[in-house]
Amino acid sequence: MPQVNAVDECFDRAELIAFVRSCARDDGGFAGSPERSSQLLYTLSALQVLAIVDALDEACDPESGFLDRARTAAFVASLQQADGSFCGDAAGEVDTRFSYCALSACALVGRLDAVDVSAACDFVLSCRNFDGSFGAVPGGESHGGQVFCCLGALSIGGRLGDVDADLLGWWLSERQCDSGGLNGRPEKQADVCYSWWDLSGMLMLGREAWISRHALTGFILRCQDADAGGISDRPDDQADIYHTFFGIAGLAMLGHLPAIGERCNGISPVYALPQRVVDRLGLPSQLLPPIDAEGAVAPGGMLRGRDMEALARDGRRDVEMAEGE
Amino acid sequence: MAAASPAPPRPPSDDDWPGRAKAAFGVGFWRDKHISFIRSVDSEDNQKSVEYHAMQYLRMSAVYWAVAAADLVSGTLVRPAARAQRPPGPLVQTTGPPRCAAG
Repeated sequence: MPQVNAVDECFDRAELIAFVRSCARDDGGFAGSPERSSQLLYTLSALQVLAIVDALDEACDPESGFLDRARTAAFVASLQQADGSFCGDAAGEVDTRFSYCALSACALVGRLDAVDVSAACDFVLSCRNFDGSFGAVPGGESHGGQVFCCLGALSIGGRLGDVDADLLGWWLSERQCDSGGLNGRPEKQADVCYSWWDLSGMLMLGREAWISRHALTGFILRCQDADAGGISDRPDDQADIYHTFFGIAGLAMLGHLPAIGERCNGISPVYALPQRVVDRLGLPSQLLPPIDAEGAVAPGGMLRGRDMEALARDGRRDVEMAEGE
Repeated sequence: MAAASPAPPRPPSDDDWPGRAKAAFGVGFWRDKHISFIRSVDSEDNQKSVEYHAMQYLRMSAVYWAVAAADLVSGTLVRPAARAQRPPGPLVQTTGPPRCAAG
């Protein structure tokens, strides 16, 4: 069957690369837009864009390129603090978001050895709370966005086994609201973006069976703009590109898109990149084996972006469940 | 003479998974509209909006979200296979090359 690439349909590859080039800085980092300075968040985004369009090698060309893997790794390393944490830029704010960005960016340039991975993981684990979840700094409030960042950092760093998967899996499953959507903290409204932040964490822990998959699928579908396209944070709000990506990523992880016969590339819950890109680059990661609703080890690893036929089977079961309601 | 009553809507067949999913969830997945939305994010029309300029500081991330979203709705169509049972994996499954030594 023919491959269809919506990236080519939507973007000019050369323009994308030229934009990333315009944000490259002499320190090896990348800025959020051409007139700004280096920041860890946008350094990771820049590498992710290059990885998706398979341009990392050509960006490193000594003649015409603008990416020096060692210099980018040195920029990331320069932001690591004595306690293993990372700042996002020269402003000095520490946040576990930056721990994730640092390890993911170093993995993408193949230079994880440029930073102290062990100290980085120790700091992330020091941000764990009594409820099993994670905050931005030690003692910081548990938050779904921080769960993705902390689990992702530990997965890349090879320390996912240090997490209490049952306790955190319980906290994540409590994020599902009556609407079917997930929230980021107790007593907050559901928001489509947590279909990425919370659900990717549940996949890394193998605890995705602990929420109602079809209730979440229905919530994301109801957040689509049926006229102009795009997905919003909750039904009937204004769509934006952030919620569009995380909503589609949620539907992909839930197995809904392959189930209904839509084209869908699997996504890595650790790198937020297409699984084929993660496989092509050989990026390191860990996933815990999936546990079913009764706590037994489930057969095979589904929904992890690898096995599209398993995704299709599982998503179809989800449609059957919704039909039975 | 009575007008012929309209034919009742035909229920989606077993093979019509988009139809069945739409009936089950009450709403379909609007792939083509999402692709137009993704294309419009950086369009000249959009560049005239206040929101576009307010978001300039994170444009690199917005480009990543747009490219990644477009990639997700690409690829080949998947044909479902019979459910296969596979043995459970080891406690921690590691993919990729061995992790680099800590710093």
